[in-house]
Amino acid sequence: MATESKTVTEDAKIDLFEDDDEFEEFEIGEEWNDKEEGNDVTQQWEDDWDDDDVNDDFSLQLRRELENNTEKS
Amino acid sequence: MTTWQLFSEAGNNFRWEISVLPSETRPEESRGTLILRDDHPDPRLPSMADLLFQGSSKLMQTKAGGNDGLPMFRTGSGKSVAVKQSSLLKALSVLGEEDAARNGEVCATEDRHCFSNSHFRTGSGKTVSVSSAGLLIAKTLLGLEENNNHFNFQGLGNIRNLPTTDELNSFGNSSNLEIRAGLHKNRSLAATSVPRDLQNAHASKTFRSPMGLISSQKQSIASAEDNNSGSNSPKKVGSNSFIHEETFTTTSNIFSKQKSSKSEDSEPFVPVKHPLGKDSCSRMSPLARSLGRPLVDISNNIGHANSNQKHTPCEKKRFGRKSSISPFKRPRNSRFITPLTSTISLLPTGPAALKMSEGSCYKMKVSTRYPFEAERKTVKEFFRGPPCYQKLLEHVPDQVKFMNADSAEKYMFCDKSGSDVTGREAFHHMLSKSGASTLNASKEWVANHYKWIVWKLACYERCYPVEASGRYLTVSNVIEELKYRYEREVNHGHRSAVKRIVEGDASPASMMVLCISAIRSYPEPKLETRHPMPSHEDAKKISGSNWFENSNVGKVELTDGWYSLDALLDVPLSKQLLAGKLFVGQKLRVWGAGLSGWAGPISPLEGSTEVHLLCHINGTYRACWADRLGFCKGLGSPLAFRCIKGGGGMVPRTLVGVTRIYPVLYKERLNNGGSVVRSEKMEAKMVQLYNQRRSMIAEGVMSEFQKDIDCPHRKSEDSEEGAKILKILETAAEPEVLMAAMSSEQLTYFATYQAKQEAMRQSDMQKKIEKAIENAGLSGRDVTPFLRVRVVGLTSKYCHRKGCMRDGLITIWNPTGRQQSELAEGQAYTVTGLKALNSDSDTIYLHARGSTTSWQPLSPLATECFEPFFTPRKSVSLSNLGEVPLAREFDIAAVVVYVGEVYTSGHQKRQWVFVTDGSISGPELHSEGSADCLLAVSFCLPDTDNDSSALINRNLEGSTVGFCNLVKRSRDKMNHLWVAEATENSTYLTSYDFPGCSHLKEAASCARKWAKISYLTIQKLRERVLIIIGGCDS
Repeated sequence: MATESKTVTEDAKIDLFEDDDEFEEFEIGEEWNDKEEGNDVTQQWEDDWDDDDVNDDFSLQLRRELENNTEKS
Repeated sequence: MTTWQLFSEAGNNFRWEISVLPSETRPEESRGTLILRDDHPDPRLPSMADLLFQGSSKLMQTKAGGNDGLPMFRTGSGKSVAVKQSSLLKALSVLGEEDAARNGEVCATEDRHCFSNSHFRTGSGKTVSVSSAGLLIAKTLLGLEENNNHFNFQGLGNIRNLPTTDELNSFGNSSNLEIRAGLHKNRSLAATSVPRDLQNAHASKTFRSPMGLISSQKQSIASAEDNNSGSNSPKKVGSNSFIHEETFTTTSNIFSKQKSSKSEDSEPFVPVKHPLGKDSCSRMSPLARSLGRPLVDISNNIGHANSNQKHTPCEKKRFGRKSSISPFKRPRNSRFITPLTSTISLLPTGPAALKMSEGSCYKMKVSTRYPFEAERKTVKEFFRGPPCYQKLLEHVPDQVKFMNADSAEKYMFCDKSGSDVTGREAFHHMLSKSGASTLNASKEWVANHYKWIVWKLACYERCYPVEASGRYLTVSNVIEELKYRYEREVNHGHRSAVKRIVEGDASPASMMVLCISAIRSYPEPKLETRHPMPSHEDAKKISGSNWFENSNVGKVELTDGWYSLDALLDVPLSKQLLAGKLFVGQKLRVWGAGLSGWAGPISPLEGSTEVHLLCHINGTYRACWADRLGFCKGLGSPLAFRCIKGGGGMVPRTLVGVTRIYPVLYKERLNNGGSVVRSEKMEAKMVQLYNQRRSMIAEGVMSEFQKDIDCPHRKSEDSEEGAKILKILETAAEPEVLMAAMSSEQLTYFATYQAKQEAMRQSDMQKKIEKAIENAGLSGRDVTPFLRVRVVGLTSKYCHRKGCMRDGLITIWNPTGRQQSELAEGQAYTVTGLKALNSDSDTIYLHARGSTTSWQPLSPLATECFEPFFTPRKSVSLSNLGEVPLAREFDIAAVVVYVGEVYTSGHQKRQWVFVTDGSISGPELHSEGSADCLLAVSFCLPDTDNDSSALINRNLEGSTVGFCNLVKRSRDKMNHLWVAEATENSTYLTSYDFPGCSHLKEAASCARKWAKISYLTIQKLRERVLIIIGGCDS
């Protein structure tokens, strides 16, 4: 068990998971296929800034935590 | 560097080849080569004009060896050139048969060759001409008459002096050391050490001249060969020999040649694959393969040229893509500002850039992890959900707990004893020890990435204290990430979103996910109270370019995890910032953003305080916590129509269902600042009127003018012969006789004079007309057509969020023909490029320009996914007009009972029209006063045109008319009348064959039939109307 946990400790974080800043390198500005995509749109960006019930409850938590932290520091 | 080589092919064929090194040969056609080699690290490549200019004064021309008899040599243009057998023999003897047999090549390179000759052509195929004087000078300089073996160099004042003929002559027999010394002395800008071939080149550059001098040039080859023999491989290469060479060929296949050289040239940027010391005689190996160092750019190709000039050696991967093929068209300005789509990064150039570029060619793999071999979990998969702060453990140090991006930069790692601290300087050191170039991984570079890496790792530590438990924010993880970033950015040329934007290679309008890393300034809190909702005027201001200068807006720092950029928020977003909905750590999906204060490519490390991303609420959405930072692939999802904020700027993309399309209207901006909107019919009328007025004025001016002309003693230029003749003719009794006696010359004079006079008259008249028209205020009309479209937001059938659909009114200014003809009611569209102006409780008003907005119809399948939104038009009858809500639009076909008089009310002309249909009949109709069988429609028009004509012609009385888009108003209960208003969007018609009015056809025909048999009823109704009007009047 001890060895196992050691191995885990030695694992570079970078090998464990993909960070959100590991951007993908691709050409932008090229014409996305408007026609096809235009026809297939069924999803909309539904988030309204004026809505308080943001689906992402992490945001709420983060806000709360940040407020707490600011108070502490 | 370029050399010329003579190759023997099968049999007695010989070819001239251009080769970057003598060690390499290319099986291609020979061509003349004009080379400019400039060791100066000036990034600007000489233009063709430069070369010609230099060439005119420091001409160095050589004549390629060619002899009669053996037509095996070809010029660049493919012509055969005769080479004497004797010449070849002589050449061979000079070259040494063995050498010749083995290599069969003559190498020649020069520092600067500028030749001019009508048979030489530029890459674009233009002939380069040389004056005969120039040739003579060249000949003299080259000593062609006495000694054809060599040529001479004549440098410009500021250009290195090259060895003289004698010096060159001595090449053959002198030691390499001497040559080198000579070169050192003369080449102030050149490489500190020069490969032997380069030296040889001075003596042996051979150009084929079509002037018949070729045959006498054979000696030059031979003498050159002496130097060349056995020295094809450069033993030593200068480290600073950044040399630009421009290869001008006389061949017509320059482009193919350029291409091939391009691909070869780019190879050495992967030096690992091409170890040094490769056999110099390898036919396939390009120049730098044996050099194993930064390469000379031979192609003069923009892609290449740039690559040598850039800080970023990362251009490697882009070589094959968009580099310009034309080698001679490079802009004079070294900073070639490309469109945003360009893949070439543009950074300030200079010696440092060159050095960096040079260093990059020693690129070492710094991180062995990238590219990652195994697929790794995403953050979301790994942590299985957003962090839970309740679990925040006590053991997370305060320094980590309260770390922000700014303090992350100063973070120091302490070992357990606390004695050893590791900060960003130490990481800089570690990174360079791993093989990273300090030029690329500068202190600033390391500091920047250290900051973002440490911040990120600290965030993991505090967000997932259980999973991380101090194992993420470690020295080894930071150095691994630094190496990874170096590998990607320097060795792979990958650039994050912010870097690409500030370097000018990506549009800031592209959709990307960025994270708020700091709040730089809050807007004034008054903002909320002062602007509860932006008014129309505010919206106008907001849509202007300078609204961000308003100090009342918030400023945040956004990061892509690699670099950061300050962003200015528009007023609605600033309000969200005040409301606490924008906070550090929040990810934003930014789309359609602008960039202010950006004048040209800058480094993201510069941290310019002037460059700002401009974010507006309609293009800025809250992103999911686990969304990947950076540019988003593909088209983003459209913003739900209900989420569009008035005054929130451009909506990159949204989904709407078109419910009504209104007729095209014309807005004329008047001189007094006002404006008037007209229907198509009225506009046509106005155009006609306008043209009439103009022609009336023109006619007036012309008749006045005619009087002037008819005046006998007009100014005449007596000095002219023609004028004199005219005078004589005017006074003569029989001008015909006189004219018959005139000489042809006199007649010409006369005719010319007359034509001239006529032209003057015309021009004078034109000016007068224009002036008169201008004085009358008729010099032009500022009219813009527009199309209004009523739309409704779409709600997904599967969306749990149900609510009423939001209406929108979109004004398309200058609609395209396609938009006018193809937009259809009932169809759903994805629309781009709408700008939200303002909104009230029911409707949001948007506008767009026809040319910049796109309307993409949704497929029926996609439309199926949304709730139905469309109520087709139908003809409403008077009997069911009660079902139409107030202020709602309706269409009706009815019989005109009475057309009232036009009257003026305020600044408007008004007219009432009374209609009826047969829907209410029988006893109801006859019980006067109780039946609602009359509809009074109010028409109005701004009273600006001084047009006394009626809005509705009285002739329409008794006929059946279809009305579209009437707005229902409250009933006149006293008179038992339905009331409706015709707005500028309303139309009336008497024919129903047009698309969009067929729904009235049936009702109209019913009404017409009813009218035919109901003459008496209609008369009665007319009397009733008259009573009502009379009652009103009294």
